[in-house]
Amino acid sequence: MAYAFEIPGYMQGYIFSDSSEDYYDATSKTFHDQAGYGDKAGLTIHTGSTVFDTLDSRRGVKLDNTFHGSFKMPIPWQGSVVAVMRPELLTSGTHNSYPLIFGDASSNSSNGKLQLSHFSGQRRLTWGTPNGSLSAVDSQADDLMRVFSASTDQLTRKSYVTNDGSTVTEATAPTSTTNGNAVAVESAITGARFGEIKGISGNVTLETDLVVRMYEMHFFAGNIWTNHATKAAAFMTSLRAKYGVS
Amino acid sequence: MTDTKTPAQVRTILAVDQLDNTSDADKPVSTAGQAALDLKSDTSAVLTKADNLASLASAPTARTSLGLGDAAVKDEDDLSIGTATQAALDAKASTFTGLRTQHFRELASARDTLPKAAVVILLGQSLNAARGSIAQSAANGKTMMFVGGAHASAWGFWSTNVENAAHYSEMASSVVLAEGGDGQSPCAGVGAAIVGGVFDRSYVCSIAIGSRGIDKLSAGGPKANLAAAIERGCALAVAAGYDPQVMFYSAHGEADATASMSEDDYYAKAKFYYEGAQLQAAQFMGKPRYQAPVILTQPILQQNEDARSIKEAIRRIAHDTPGVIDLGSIYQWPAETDRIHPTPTSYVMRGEAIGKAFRSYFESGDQTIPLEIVDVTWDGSTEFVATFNAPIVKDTTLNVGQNLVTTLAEDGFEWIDNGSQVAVTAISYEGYKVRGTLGAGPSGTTAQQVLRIAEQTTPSTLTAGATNLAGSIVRADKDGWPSIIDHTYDNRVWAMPQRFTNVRDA
Repeated sequence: MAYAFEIPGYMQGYIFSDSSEDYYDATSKTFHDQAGYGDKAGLTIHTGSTVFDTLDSRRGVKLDNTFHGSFKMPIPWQGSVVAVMRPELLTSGTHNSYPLIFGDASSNSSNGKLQLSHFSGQRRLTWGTPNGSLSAVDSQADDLMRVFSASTDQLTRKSYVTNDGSTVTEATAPTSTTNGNAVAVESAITGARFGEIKGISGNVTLETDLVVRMYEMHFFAGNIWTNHATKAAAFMTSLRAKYGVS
Repeated sequence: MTDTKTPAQVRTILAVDQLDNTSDADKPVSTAGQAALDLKSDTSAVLTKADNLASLASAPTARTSLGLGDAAVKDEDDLSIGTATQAALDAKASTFTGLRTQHFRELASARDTLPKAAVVILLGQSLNAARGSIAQSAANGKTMMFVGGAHASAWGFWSTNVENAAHYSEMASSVVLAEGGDGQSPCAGVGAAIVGGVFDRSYVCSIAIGSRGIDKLSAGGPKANLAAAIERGCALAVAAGYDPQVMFYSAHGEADATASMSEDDYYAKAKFYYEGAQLQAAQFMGKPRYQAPVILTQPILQQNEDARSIKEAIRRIAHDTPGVIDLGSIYQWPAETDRIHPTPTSYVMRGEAIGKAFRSYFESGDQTIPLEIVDVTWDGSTEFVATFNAPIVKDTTLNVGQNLVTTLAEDGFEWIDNGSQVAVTAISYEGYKVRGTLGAGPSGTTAQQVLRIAEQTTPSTLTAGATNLAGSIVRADKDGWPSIIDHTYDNRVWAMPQRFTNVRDA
């Protein structure tokens, strides 16, 4: 078994379950930071009520737009994320909005974020920087559980994505003359938003097209796929075993 | 009485005639009884006390009889851990909780044996690019600046590109702070004052220059740049063999004081920003328990309610947020011709004050506090006594502020009686106390009296040299120190504008 804290530079992490007080405090509606950096690093649900959900014996939260939260973004300039999620495509066709896992407003394509979208039957996890200058995409054609990782690297000016820890896809680097915003991710003044789909603060209308269940999310300093690939892959393998990803 | 039956006859009639005379041999084993018997061993399979005593006559025989093979009796120290026990221990050692605890213990003590380097991030300084202007800093050879890895005088990136996140190349390396042009930066002063004592080296970086408002700092490029500066500053220090200690100095309340931002709005946004900065410092240092100090200074502006709101918000943030220090008004005179920005030398002096405050924080745990009125008594007539939190003097040489209506104020002190200003006609200084005389006895109650210092609303531009200014005319006695860089200057802690409302009867 490999753990997130065994990867150097583990900065912040959440387990989206209410099965333990170590994970979630129902009174403050806060998911505790698993990296050990205390209350300031928590993810707090500030609008609506957290929707916990058990599917195939896995406990998680269901981002259906009925609750929104935020947290202090640990990797606004560069860094890595490993997440466990499961999409659910409820209706095909054209959707007006997509689940924002975290980032700035989901309705604005010029904001950096991790977002689930849908195109021609594909559920697409997109790790995007402002203006879409740099985006890494992981696609799947089903609603099965997914372990996903992405990195943004200021040194190479590339983003990286993998869903198995062994095949790492690199996005093309923007030109060197493009300003730093093309690579950096976050620009939200109040921190990283979590769970918004409509992209409108306070709009908690139930989403009926595409939702996503979140189980874990962990952040690391730097690019774990170039600096700590072996440990990062071991962690992903453990997560895949834990959540039954074949 | 007819048909009399004996008890035995009755039992026969009722078919319970075996109830009290069943022989023991005829009694069956009840279900419960059999269950209890199932828990027992046959006597043939159990060693009797006599058997054991006989067997123990020979230890090896006894061990064989007990199924212990040839195991010899050993002292506790000689006992080895069995395979199963070891396996159980291995399982314990690799539990999530055990490993996680061990991980954080290691983080807490990481790099403790290395010399310490201060990583100082300056937030929201003036528009001119940050430059070192004093050769003395270069002479110490231990103050590094890392944006662009360029000569300090070449810094132009931040002032021209304030909304964009930094390129890696700008944060890749550092150079010894060197003499630059006539820029305006506290960087040189911070570097000069902080090295020595706890810190063997300092890495100084100034970000978001020219975008001093909290809204600017919190969004877009500047937010990413904060993370970039902390991350790269720590990485450069570690690569050079140092244990980095991150700290912040922010002067951006100045801009917010002119931006009509409300106290509550500024408080909420700035508190979120500074707490985020402290969190990121701990994260990039890899020290979960580290609490980065944040020094805030008060805006020099004082002529409007917005400025007062920001000052009050800064006080509240420092009060409510561990590690945040309100250093008050530490501006030095002279200023530029705009009467707002200090001269390059004055900026460096300010940096010295910041550097010394950081050193005090790390070396003795002291937090430099602003000079403030802590108590005011009034005799109900024309005399009042204000007590400060440090001995004070009147300084007529380094003052800066705005001209007051001299017929109402004296040395920056103003008295308000139920909303109306009453003339202060005389002020005297004695240790911690200021004794004041009013031109006329107030008519309101004690609760309606207010003593203000340097708060008068006036459209006057900042000026110097007069003795009757709303500004830094009152300073802490003996609180100055000879400047490292320019020995004609002393840094001093000045009384900042304040409105004291808890006047009590003498």
